[in-house]
Amino acid sequence: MGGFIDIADLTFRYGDAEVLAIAGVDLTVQKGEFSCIVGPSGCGKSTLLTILSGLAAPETGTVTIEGTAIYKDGRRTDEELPRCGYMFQDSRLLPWRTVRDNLNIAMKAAGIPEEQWNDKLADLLRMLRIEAFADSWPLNLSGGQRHRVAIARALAIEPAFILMDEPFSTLDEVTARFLRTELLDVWARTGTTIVFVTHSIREAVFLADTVNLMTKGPGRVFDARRITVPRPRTYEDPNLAEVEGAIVETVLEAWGYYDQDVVTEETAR
Amino acid sequence: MTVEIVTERTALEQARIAGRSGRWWKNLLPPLAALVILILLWWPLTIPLRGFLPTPLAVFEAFAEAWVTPEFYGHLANTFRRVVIGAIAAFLVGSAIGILMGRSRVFEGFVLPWVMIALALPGPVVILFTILLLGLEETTLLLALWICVTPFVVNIVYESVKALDPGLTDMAVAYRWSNSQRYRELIFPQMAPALFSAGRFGFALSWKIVVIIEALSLPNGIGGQLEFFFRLLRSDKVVAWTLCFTVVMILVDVLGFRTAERRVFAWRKEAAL
Repeated sequence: MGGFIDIADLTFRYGDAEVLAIAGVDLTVQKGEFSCIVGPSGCGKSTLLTILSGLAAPETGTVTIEGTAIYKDGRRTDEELPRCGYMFQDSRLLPWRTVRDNLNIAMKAAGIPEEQWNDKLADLLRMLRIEAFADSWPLNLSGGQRHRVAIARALAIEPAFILMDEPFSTLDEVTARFLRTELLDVWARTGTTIVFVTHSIREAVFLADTVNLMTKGPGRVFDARRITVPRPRTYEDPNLAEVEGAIVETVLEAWGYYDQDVVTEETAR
Repeated sequence: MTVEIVTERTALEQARIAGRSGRWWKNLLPPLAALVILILLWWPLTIPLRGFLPTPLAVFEAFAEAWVTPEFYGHLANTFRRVVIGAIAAFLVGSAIGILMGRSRVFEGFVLPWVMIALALPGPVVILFTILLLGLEETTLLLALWICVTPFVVNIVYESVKALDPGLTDMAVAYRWSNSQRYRELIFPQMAPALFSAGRFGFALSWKIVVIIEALSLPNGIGGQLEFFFRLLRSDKVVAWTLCFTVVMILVDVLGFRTAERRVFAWRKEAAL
């Protein structure tokens, strides 16, 4: 408790499902932190982001952002949800609007004064090195460029924090590496709090200040590792590989892979 | 590196667009060929069906004669007015019902049985019962027309709302778009093809229904004249007057629907879809 985002005992289920999607998540994210959430498929890590963004309401639990309770004991409070940027696995840009329009629509919805739109758009596109494509159509851009536009949109609304749901998982590794470096650069310049969901431990240790590890579904956070390897980091850094190895060792046990091996051996006998 | 990739893609797409627009004869030739083949098939059929099926030449003469008759324009105006009023009313109400059905489960559950029944009702049954209940009035015709056409519009629009991209909807919710922004920027652009389809289909269906209603009840329209010529066994005039209104319908389609479509979907060409 006492962080920028505090989540306590959060549970959620889809509709009338018997099984919970997440069960008792506790999580703290500090202001300006790059926080990663790692978990196996189906553990509820994306669900956690949908709750933080206001797309879904929890069944129980409390969510506090900047000291203001947004959900208390599973109920939505009267407090306004803070503005958050959201990056999905795909860029989710409107194909019938240009890059400029996509950003302007988001800024309009966020209540950014219209006289600031042009400057903000120019700054962000320059920062993400896509200033030449302001009046391009999303379908004329490569996958990596569309993701940059999506990052620009998330930043354009002056968010309290940004949620990222495996945003680079659909890209090739070279483009993904390039974009991770750019994202870290943008994060360092803006100081925005980022909650980043991924199933890749390597991606998490490269990006994060803290890696939160989730159990198998219905998930909860069972470990939070502070990554102290200094920045800028490289993928080849042996210190990073060591941290990654230790986390892999931990999750192999937590996600039940050792048990599976035993079962397989027993079955084989 | 990525900049080069985009430049290549854009150049490729631009070449494709240039290729498309440069071959205008490719667009014109197939419909012309279809018309020529239709006439070539029609002509020999008039020999065994002499007296019932007019020759293309006889139809052409009746067609030319109809266009210079002042009374034709009176009948045309009456039918056109009814088609336009009926189609617009069906489009507006049908679209609203279709959108509400797609957005609200309660409303969907309530209205769906009505829509299914209305879709299955034969047009002549609706027309006859409306005439029996309300008499031979212009408003009766319009009401019957509206009852016949609206369910089809509802169905097309409803299906398109169900097919909206949930990913984009989530994005709009996460970015706190207002309701008007969601409809203007997200829902209507995705529904545009279906709305055009509903409008075009509703217009065509209205014309077919209006002709039946006029033939049954109202003499002051194209349908009434078709029934009049049919009683006189003037099949050449029946076909010619039908063709006259068909020309009007094609003009509405080309000048109205297709022009509007080109404007609404201009981004597709620019985005090299």
